[in-house]
Amino acid sequence: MNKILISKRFITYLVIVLSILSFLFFLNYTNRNRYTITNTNQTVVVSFENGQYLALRPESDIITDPNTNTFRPFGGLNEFDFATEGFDFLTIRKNFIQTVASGDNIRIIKISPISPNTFYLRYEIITNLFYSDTSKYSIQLDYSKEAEFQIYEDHNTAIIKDERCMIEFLSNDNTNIEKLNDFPSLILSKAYSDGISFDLTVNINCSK
Amino acid sequence: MKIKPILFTIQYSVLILFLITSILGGYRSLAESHLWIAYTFIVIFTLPSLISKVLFQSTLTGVYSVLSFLYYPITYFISYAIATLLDINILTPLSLLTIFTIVIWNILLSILIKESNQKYLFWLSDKTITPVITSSIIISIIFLVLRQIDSVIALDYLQHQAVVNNMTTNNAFCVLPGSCSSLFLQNGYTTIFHTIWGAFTTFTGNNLIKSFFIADILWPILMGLITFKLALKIFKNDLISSFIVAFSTLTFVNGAYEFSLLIPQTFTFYLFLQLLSSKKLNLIGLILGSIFLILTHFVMGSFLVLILIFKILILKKLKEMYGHINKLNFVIYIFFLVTALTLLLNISGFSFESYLQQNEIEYIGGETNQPFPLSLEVAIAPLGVIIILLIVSILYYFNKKQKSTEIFFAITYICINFAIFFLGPTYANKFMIGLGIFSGIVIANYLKNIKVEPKIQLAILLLLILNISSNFYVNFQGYLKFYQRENNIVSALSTTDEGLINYLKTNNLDCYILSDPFTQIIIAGTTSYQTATGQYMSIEGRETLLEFITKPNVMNLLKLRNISDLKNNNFCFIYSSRLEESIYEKNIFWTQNVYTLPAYNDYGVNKNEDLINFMEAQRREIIYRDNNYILFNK
Repeated sequence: MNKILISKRFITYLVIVLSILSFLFFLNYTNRNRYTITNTNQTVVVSFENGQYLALRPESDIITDPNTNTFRPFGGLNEFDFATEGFDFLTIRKNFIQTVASGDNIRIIKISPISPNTFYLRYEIITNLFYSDTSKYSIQLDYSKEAEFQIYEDHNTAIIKDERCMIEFLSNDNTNIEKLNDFPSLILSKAYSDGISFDLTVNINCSK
Repeated sequence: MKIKPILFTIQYSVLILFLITSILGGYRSLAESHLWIAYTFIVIFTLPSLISKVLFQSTLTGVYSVLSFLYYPITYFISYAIATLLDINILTPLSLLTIFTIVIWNILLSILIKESNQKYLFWLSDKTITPVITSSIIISIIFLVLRQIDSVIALDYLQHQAVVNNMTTNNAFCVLPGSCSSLFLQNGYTTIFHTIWGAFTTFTGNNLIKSFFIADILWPILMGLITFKLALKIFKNDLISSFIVAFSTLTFVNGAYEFSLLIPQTFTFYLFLQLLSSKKLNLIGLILGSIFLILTHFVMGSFLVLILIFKILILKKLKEMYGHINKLNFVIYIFFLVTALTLLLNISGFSFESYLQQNEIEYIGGETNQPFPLSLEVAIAPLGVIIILLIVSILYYFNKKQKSTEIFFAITYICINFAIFFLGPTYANKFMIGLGIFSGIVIANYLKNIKVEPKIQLAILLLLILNISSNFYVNFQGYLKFYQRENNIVSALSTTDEGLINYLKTNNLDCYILSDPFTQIIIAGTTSYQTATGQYMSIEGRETLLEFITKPNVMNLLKLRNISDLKNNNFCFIYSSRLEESIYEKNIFWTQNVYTLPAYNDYGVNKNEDLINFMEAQRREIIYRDNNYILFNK
């Protein structure tokens, strides 16, 4: 057996295989997401390289109507589940799915990383509530500290900027984006219906 | 070519250069110079070798060299006795001691050069320069790519420096570090290491931050030297030995840090390698060396002493009993079996820590080890894909007709590394110490016998070094992440801390410092203040602190005063931007586990008017304030 192990052919193949594997693992590392996605209680937290994070809290969701009271469909403690789908290897990235349920109301967040700096953020909210045509459903994205907020004129794009990072939110479905007064948060609103979805692309650009 | 004049010229021209710098710019200019700090490091860590060689007529490394490190605790004790008798600050005799040490080192070096023959000096220079060049190339690349100038990437340095600070400020002689600093909840070692560490950082008056940085550069080179000696003893081949040096420098074992940081456990391992590489270690030498190892680190020292006993006594006896190492394969099979069993135990969910160290878990706030399958990932991480090569190398060893005791030992050592790791005692990673060196030895044993031309062999070795480098990069980057501070600084200390540190240094407030754990360790390491156990602040203490800053009232202040970490001492409270961020952004993760610390400190301290007003009402005025810290009077 040792004759094979010390042969020129074996060692050549071995070193080539090791080099390829090392290179792939290194590439996998350098190609890793520049953000981390975790779940704390019922909140999905997307952390960035500047130490700041984006919190997606179900209790912040709100249904507003000029004629009736506001209502928070996930206002209290909810049942929740956080799971991942797929695996990370090179350009393949796993998805993160949080499902929150409050009675018949269900809210699903799916985060699909598509590159080290970009991910799709998709909300699907299924509720069975009686509201009028003038009602609006809003979700809230909370940034962890005060920063510079820019909302584009079309209200489809927003940017959060601090010394190190610029995070861009692009609505893929013409959702109205606004900044919440006096708080470092973005509000995304749509006309209320039983099944609502929000679809965003989030780009992160942090300097080293 | 005559080597003696060259060596003398180098030795004395360096001395003259430092002397001129000192005369022109004063000693302060020397103490701020990286070159001088590096020189003092070399003097302090090689003096025991010179004592061993010149005074004891022994080898440069080995039991005499190990025991000669006693020079530092002994001279510290003498300085302490002089300071106590004359009622003077201990730093005065310690400064004189530094000069004495440098003079003695130069005298011993001169004697060594003068008394040795040309042949020996050539051999010694060759066997020193080869590993130094190898290590220097690797270290230069690591530092160019991954490190920032004068960055501090070990809270351990600050923790051990806190002991030295208290020894020198309070003229104290502490046998255990816990007697000199509140940062040690358990005494895992005596202060032997601290007298050596202090001789390098404080007694010399060197710039502290630069000293930490230089230690990070020179420590791996010193480890490279002893690794080279061990490898040379086995293979008698410079190229293969250099490969082992490079390979082990680039094997980053998180938690063990043998080639990355100079701390008691790595220093103990360095002494262990000295004993292991010595050609003649008799029973008395083994006993004395073992005592020294245990005193330097109770747990790691004992662990390494048991390995030494296995190598020097048990293995020797087994060889005598069975006639030849070739007949001892069954011993390795037993080691394999035990390692496999511990892995199975780990897979089944057992860990020594979770079953038998409940108190530690409760105190820490969680386990220090990962469960399976993450544990397997952690075990493989230091070597990465090179583990495949290690397996091939072990297979090669078993199929080889003529076996070597050294490779036999290296394989058993690796088994012990993994077996204890999978058993999962607290800080199981630490027991993977030396994995790089002994894996390197087993792999080198295979590579030196491959049937290829020397040039191809060299190319293969370089390619493997490149492979392990990429693995090192990934592992070391993961380690550095913890030290990510504001303004893109990767260091435990940032320029934003300087104002507070300087204020505390120039004003003796006579109080314990209470703040978030990260701020505490910064203060403990850079000043002589005691803290509320620094980074080891209890979970209960952390929660009480958070409660106080969130709701500042008399009741909460009383609770704070009574936390065990303060040991009933008066305290000065530092409100940091880390604490402000905790309240306003609900970043309270650091209150749930002793090993989680908030490092970022750029949130500001402008929001908590309630706290400031309450402290004023309690006559605790603000005595220092900057963008990120507010210091209240005691």
